Amino acid sequence: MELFWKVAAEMMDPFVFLLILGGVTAGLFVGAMPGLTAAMALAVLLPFTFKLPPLYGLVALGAVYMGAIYGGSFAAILVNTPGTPSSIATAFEGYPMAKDGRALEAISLATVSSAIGGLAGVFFLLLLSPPLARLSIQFGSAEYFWVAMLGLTLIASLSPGSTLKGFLGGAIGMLLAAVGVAPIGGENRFTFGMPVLQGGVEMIVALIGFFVIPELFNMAAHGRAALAEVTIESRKRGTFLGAIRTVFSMPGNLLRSCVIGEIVAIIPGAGGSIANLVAYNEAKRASRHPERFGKGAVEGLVASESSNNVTVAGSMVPLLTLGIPGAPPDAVILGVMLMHGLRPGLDLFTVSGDLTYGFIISMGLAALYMMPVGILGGRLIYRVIVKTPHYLLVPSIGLVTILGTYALRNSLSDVIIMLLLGTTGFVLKELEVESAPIVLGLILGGIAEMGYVQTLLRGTALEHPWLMLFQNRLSQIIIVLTVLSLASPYLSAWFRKFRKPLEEQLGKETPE
Amino acid sequence: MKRAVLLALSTLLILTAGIAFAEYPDRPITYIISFNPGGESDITARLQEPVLEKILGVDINVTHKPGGGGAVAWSEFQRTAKPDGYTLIGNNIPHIIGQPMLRKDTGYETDGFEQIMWMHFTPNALIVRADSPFKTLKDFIEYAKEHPKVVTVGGSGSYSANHLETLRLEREAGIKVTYIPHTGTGPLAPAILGGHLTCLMNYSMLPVQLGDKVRTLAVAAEERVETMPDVPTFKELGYDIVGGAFRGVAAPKGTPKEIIAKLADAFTKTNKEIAGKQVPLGFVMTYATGDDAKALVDKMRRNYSDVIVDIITEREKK
Amino acid sequence: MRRPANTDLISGVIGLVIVGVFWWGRGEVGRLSVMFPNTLLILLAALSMALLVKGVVRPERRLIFAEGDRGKVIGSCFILFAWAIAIPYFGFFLSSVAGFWGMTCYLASSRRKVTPLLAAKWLGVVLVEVTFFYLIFAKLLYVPLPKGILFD
Repeated sequence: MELFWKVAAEMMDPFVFLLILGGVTAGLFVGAMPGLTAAMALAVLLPFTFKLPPLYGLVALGAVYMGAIYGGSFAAILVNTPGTPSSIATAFEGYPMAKDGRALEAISLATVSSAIGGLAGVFFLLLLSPPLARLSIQFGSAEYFWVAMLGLTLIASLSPGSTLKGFLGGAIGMLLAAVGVAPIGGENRFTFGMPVLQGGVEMIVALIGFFVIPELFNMAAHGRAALAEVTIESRKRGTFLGAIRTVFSMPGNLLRSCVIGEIVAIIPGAGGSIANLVAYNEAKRASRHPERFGKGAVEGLVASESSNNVTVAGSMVPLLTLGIPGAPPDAVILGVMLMHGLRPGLDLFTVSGDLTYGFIISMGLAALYMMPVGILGGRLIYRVIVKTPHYLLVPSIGLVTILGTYALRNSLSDVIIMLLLGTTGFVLKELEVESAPIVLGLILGGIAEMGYVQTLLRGTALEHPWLMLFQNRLSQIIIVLTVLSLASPYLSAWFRKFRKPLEEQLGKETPE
Repeated sequence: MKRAVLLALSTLLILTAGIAFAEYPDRPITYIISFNPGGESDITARLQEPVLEKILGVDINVTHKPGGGGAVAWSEFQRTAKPDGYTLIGNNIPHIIGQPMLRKDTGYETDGFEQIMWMHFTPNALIVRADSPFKTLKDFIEYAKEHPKVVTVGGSGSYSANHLETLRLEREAGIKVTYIPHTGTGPLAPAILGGHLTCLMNYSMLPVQLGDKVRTLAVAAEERVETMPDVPTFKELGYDIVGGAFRGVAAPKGTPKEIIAKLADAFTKTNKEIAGKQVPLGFVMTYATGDDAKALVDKMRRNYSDVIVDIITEREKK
Repeated sequence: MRRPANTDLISGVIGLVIVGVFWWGRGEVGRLSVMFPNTLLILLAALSMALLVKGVVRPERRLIFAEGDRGKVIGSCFILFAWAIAIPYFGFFLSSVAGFWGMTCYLASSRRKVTPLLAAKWLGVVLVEVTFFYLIFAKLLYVPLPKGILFD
């Protein structure tokens, strides 16, 4: 423990301060640009970190990662396009708020929530690593399958109009996930004779296609961006203190979202992209006014942005203890650690302790430094976007998305795929088949398939291989959660029907 | 007038000749990695980059083009890369052998590269969790014989090095196990540590990463691997199984011989220099250039041919 | 569309078309590779047919493509595709300047008259912005942007 305080003191060094500040700012801009993701930013930073001593390299990576996951909220709020997949749910509430003239309020809330989430992640990492690490390896193929199923039940809540169309979108998304080399069996599926399709549909490509392009077309059609000028009341609530007050006025939501973020984070391979959607959904289910969601419900925004930042430090739990990346950007960090001869495990916390604690503390500091950077940067970006006429804004976003999509895998075909999916997404949106279920299906389709086929293979020796799906205790827990999640809209509607007359009987007024 | 023209022409001739024989390399070289950043191929390239830049005197731009287990990059390379020595690509055995044979429309051919060098290989290793009842390969094979298909073997990819090696083990040892593919090496660690699989057939780097949480029963190399001196090779135990992932670098077919020779020399020197960093991570350096490189591909092709033919016959049956 | 369209019916049809296209593109694959997609195709077909049924029995009608200037949407779509397709031929820089500038003039033309002076002013803005991003991506981040006939 003294090691911790010793290192903490060392981290107050001015160079480190600037390094973290720079990292967070760079990460913020990367995250804010649709098409660039945290994993990409880290991959690009990788060669530069080799020139730095190991601690500073890791600190820089951690700061950029934290900043990027936070930065995604800007694009989500201001232009309805999640800057990173971790901010998909932020757009659901942030953008309607922006349209209502509450953009600055949304940005401040996202900032504070992200900072708290980031700190929570660090807290979990420092204090609860051992039990969390043990939990993380309990997730086997069956559990992954059920987690994917649980994720798919979110589709019902993401389709305000028709659940049927939502599942249609989800199925289309899952089918898109199947394009390319089959994860089991290794043969090419749905490549229509084109070798380039062996790489499949990359999630970010679909994300940009389905979320950004339709928005661009909307702006083109309406002849203006939908951002409204900020109103006076919103300006008051949009101050830093106002945001803090609002966020802390919902401790239950905050706590729950952070826990959800942590659990998702420790599942190897699942990160902010899944966490924000699950936390959002839970906030909606627990809310007394779920009908407000989708029109600017602050709880949804807080849930989404806090949970996704928890995953930054949270997903380090399996990484540092077992060498298992908890989320995609962690693979890059693992690479850096191995290159500097840092081996995950107990040694990391004792022999290389100062390095490790330094790294962890730097992530906490990054979460803190995000706040001033975000509040100032947010206002700046907001002002720029509001002043930019749509005929410059639309092609600007087009430029960045084309660049970002290309830079992902250095593939021009990805750009074409992105545009094709985007156009299809626009048409489907007009038909009320929303984009979120499609992207969710894409994210989860691969996980579901792997989990399903692997579990069946593992059960080859059994008479009924599919029984393997139900064998583990953890699987059973997740199955129950899935069933509850599916049933909950019906349960709560039924419950509400009985609550009203009950309360009237008891002489209470229905809460407004 | 005529003299001026003659002078101009001869100057032009000398200049063009000069340009043609200009020192290679004189501009940055693009080094394509067909996998994601952070992986073994990427780490290798990053280690090579500064040394190559020193030797060749130009910038090396490492870029990534992941997809299809490498196939996307390899097919595009064979289709579009210019054979001028300024575009190189990292490639792998047995991927370039297995994929064109087992997949439709991969878009490239095994022999469609001008191989510069095979730099190292990470041998396959049979890994179990530290508390597993199997202490030696013999225990494992005995159990597998008595319980066909019960043993689950995890590996990275389908029809990849891990998978083909597992099939070879089945053949050589006369056992039947169930191979379970995973997307890359990453998911294998939690799978074995959480007890979801009996064992793994993966590369020698994983035991280095996981330390004493796992035990390696055997390794598919010619000699014992430095990072695991107590682990016997399959050969020692009587099974002629040597294989793993070989990583190499190639240029497009038709690249001039002098350029290939110069690059082979540069990469060989680089390999020696970075061996110090790679060997502790579990890599086994090889130095196969030129004809040796071709011979290696042919040898591995022969080694795996039985297994691949089996796979194809199985498929046609369905 | 002047008449509200039956969105259920149309979505159902699109669903079935997708099923058809993917069914045709299945390729010869072994049992393991195909079991999951088969399930998905069956699921998608079932959902599409359910939508078709709903479209007949209790249709959801909505004015589609009704908001805003539809022509601008088609035009922007066309410009974006042309922009992307031009990149391997003309290089990233030129295609982007052309695409960006083209889109700006096109979108602005609905609100105000595009005088040559205005267009020239915008070209300046476009050049600055494209150069800025080009430098960041190509030089700072070493992303190999496609080079075209003239230059990048």
